[in-house]
Parts: sequence; structure tokens; C-alpha cells
Amino acid sequence: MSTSRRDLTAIALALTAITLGATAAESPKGDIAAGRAIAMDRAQGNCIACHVLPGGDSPGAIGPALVAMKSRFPSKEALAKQIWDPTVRNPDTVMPPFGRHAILSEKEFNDVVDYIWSL
Amino acid sequence: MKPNIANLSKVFLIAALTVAVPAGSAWATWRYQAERALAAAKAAEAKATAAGAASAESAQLIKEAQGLLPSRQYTKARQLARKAKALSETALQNAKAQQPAPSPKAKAKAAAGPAAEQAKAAESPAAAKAPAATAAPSQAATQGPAAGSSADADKAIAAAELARKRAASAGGEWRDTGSIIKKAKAAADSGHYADAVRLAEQARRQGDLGFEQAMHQQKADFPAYMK
Amino acid sequence: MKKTLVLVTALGLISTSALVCATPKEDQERFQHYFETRFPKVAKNDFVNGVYAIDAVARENWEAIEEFPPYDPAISNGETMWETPFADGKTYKDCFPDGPAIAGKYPYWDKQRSMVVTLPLAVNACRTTHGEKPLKYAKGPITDILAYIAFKSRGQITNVVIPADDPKALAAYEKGKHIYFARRGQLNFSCASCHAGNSGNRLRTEILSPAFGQTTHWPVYRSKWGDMGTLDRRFAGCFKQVRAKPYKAQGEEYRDLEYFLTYMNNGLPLNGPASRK
Repeated sequence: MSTSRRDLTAIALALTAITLGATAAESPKGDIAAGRAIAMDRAQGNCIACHVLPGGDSPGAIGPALVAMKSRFPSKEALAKQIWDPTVRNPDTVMPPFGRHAILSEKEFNDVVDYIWSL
Repeated sequence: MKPNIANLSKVFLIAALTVAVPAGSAWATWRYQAERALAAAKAAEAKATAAGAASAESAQLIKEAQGLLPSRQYTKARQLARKAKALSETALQNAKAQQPAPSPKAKAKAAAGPAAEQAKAAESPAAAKAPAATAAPSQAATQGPAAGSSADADKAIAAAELARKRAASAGGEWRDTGSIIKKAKAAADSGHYADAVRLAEQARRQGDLGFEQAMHQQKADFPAYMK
Repeated sequence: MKKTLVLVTALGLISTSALVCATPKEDQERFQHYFETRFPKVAKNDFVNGVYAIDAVARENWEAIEEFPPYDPAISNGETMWETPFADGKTYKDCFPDGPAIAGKYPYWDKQRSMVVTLPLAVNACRTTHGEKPLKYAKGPITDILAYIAFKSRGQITNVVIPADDPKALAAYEKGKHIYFARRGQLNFSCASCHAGNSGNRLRTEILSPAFGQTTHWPVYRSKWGDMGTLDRRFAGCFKQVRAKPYKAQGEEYRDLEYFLTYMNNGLPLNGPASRK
């Protein structure tokens, strides 16, 4: 007995909804505007020192431009992992471990992750 | 739909996936999640220790969780870390519950007490001495759960200073550790014990991290890209 | 059988020799080769000009500044210091008979005292020997006397020696090398993070200067400081920027670091004092 088109669409939609719901539920919601401020601030995240950020002033060019993030990281968790401790993926990296070294507070970290993920 | 095997299998498949897919992202734990849980557990343990409510079990759990990281058992590590955190928090709550709640008068006295004790108050030394003498003995008993105690703050600051020195001895002291300890001391001096403990713990964490960093960097040499 | 034995032994020796520590000379060759390959258009001697050897626009601005060098007052003050007798009647010339063109002799390994001696250290040793107060190492009058000595020493070739007959000298070199390549501070950078692997790249608005050429031109008038500063001042500044606590000025760590870094720059001509952004 073959699965009807309607059944297949229903399955696909259901799975997508569940997956999206599950991913969203995994991590706390950050404040994107606050995250942006942290990313541009020299005393805090200072992401702009090394990365091109949209709307950012005089960015550095040491790391890749932070655009199309969803196509470069499979999930927000994967991005959070990278920002937490980039030496895991690349031991020779020059990116500071913003999470592991407590450079950002827990709230700041969540805000930044949500901001960067939105790019 | 006809209730035959094919259709039943379809329904079962959909049901199974409906459970498995969200459950999948729920059980898969990332390393950073385990590390975050560990950091929170350590912070809670430090708080409990500072309040004299250290729990050997939570210390053991933290050690175990830490030991699981190299073998990537992140889910179990996080689980243990959360358990340790809960234990420390409970121990802290119990310790604080044993202290009587302060009356507003006692709170004000206690706030004025240490500042006078340290003789840093603007008042004349003679006036400062009298309230200090009366406030000092009752201080430990009258400090409420929110305020922490002078003893807590002193312990936390001492621990932070030890961690800072350890990092320095390995050549790995961070820039701000000393100034954070100074801020903690200032907070303690003005009776803000909870702030003092928080700052001292932040400094202690920096000292620990700086020491670990120096230890990990012992074999530092030319990087592979320099040929 | 014999052939196999020889082959295996040979391979074993080759692979173990790769594990044995590199000599300073090998380190230096590796270091210089890296930068010469990274910046193929820069003439070897031009590395002494830092970013001005890499960036044409910056170079233009710098050349304009060099028409009225901001370090000139430091040189004249330094000359006055050199010529003014100490309280006991002696002068710097009594400590440094070959002076003032002596920058090329530093840093060197002092076998008797088992330590690296740098020029600023020697200047203060001279002062205290003759009853004068030692000068602060980061800025102020020390930069004047150093500017004068540097100016007079222009053109001398960097030639740091690690005496083969004293293993402690090699140990000091290795310590300096370790300091250079170890990650430090809350931001987890090593000196190499910026000045080797990212030399020439832009950190926000600034181009990172390559380590090759970084020791030849001190003291420096830095626009950012609006003031003269020594290599120690810059070490401390860099440490703070990566959120590490600086080591003691002219303490063992920074002297060992200077020893290693200057050795890496062997062969380059001295061109101090200099101006930088």
C-alpha cells in the first residue's frame, strides 16, 4: 500500500514543527538587541574587532564575516559551542573562549548567541 | 484508513518519530552544556563552602563529572553536575535556615557594625567604637540569608587570594583578578557581604582558570603554521 | 637482513632527531623564513619599519611624520643626560667607555651573574653605582637616555649571542621562547597569535605588525601614548590588552623574552628611536 501525498506532507510538516520546537526549547531565549550591543562593545564581546558584522563600524578582518550563520552552523547549539570554547574545533584559533573563560556572563553569552544566530 | 499491517506500521512510524525526534535533541548533550553545568555546580559548591555548608558528596560528584569530559560523556557529566549543584544549594539553604531572621534594627546595626569595626567610617573613632562593640558579637547571628556574613566574605576573599597567588606562581595571573579582590574587600568593608562573596568567587574562578591555562601551556612552542 | 637493520636504524634516527629540541639557530631560521614567506614583497631590512613596510598608506603618513620626528626632543634630552655628570662627578661614559653607540651590544648573557642584561638594566646599574636614583623602566627620563643611545647606534646589526659554554643562557632563551608562544590572559592570546599568525591582518582599525623587526627600533614615540615608551612599556600594554597581568618591568621574564625576541631578529639593522601609531 503506498503512502498518499497527503500523508507524506503531514508527516514532513509534523516532523519539521517538532524539530523546530525542540531546538527552540533547548536553549534560553536571548535578547538580540542586547547581544548586538555586546558584540560591538570593546569592553565586552568586541566581536567586531575581528569579524565583519552588519552595520558595524571599522570591523577587523581576522575571522570570517558573521553572515548567513544558519548555513554555516547546523544549529544554534553548535554556534553556542563555538563561542563558548573555539579551541575545541581549532586548537590554534585566536578567538577567545568567551564561555570557558567567563569573559561574558551567562546572560551576556545567551544574548550574544541569539544575536549572532540571527545574522 | 484500513486497519491493515501497512497502515498500522505507518501510524507506528509516525508516533515513534514524533517521540524520537524531539527526544533526540533532548538527550544529545553538547560539551559546552556539560561545562556550563559544571561551572554552575562549582559556583554553588563555593557558595556553600563559604557558608560553612560544604558537602563532600557534591565535591565528589563534581570531580566525577569533570573526569567524564575527556571521554565525551557529556550527558552523564551534566547530570552529575546538576545533581552536585542541587546538593550544594540545598546544603546552603539548610545552613541559612538555621540562622534566625534579623529584625530591621539588628540589620541596620549589622550594616553599621563592620564599617565601624574597620574604622573607615566618617564618624569619630570614639563614636564608632561603641556601636562596634555591641554589634560585633551578635553579627553572625543577626545576618540574614540575603546578606551573608562577614565570615563568609572573609573566607571567600581568602580563597580568591589563594587562587590568585597560585595563578601568579605559574606565571598565569589574569589582569583583573587583583582588582576584583579589591572590590570584594571594599564591599565586605561596607557590609555588603553578599556582593563581597560574589566578587570573591568571580576572582577565585579567574585565579583557577589562569592557573589551569598556565599548566596547559607548559609545552608551548612554535605553532605548526610557522614553517 | 643487514640492509633492513640499517634502514630501520636510519629511519629511527631520522624520526627521533625530529623530536629533539630545535637549536636557537634553527628556531631563528624558521622564524625569519616564516615572515619572509608571509610578506614576500618586503625587503629583509625593511621589516624594521613594522607596519610601514607592509601598508603603503600608513607608510606615507609615517614618512610625513618623520620629517619632524616626534622623538627629537627625547634625543636632545638624552644627549644632555649623557653629558651631565652624576653627583659623584662621573658620567655614563665611565660605565660605557664605548658609548654612546652601544645599543648593538644588548641584550647579552652575563655569565657571572647568570642573567640576561638589557640596555635599560645596564643604564640603571650605572646610575646606582654612581649614587643616582634608578629610573622607571616604562616611560619618562629613561626613554631620553635610551633614545640618545639608540640614535647613536643606528645601523648596528642585531647580533645576540647565546654562549655555548653556559647551559643557563640557553635555558633563559628557552624561557623567553616559551613566554612568546604560550597563551595567556582571559582572552587566551599568545604573542604569536597576533604578531605571527595574524601579522598584516586588521584588528579593528589597526594592522598587526610582524614580530620580525619588532626589537630594532626602541624606544618609540607612540601617537597612541602621546609619549615615548620602552619595549617594557609595550610588553606591559600587550599583556593588559589580552587581560593578563604584566610581569615586572625588567624582571627575569621580560628580560628572557627580550633575549629570545632579539635573537630572532639577528641580522636586522638597528633603527631607533622610532615613531609609531
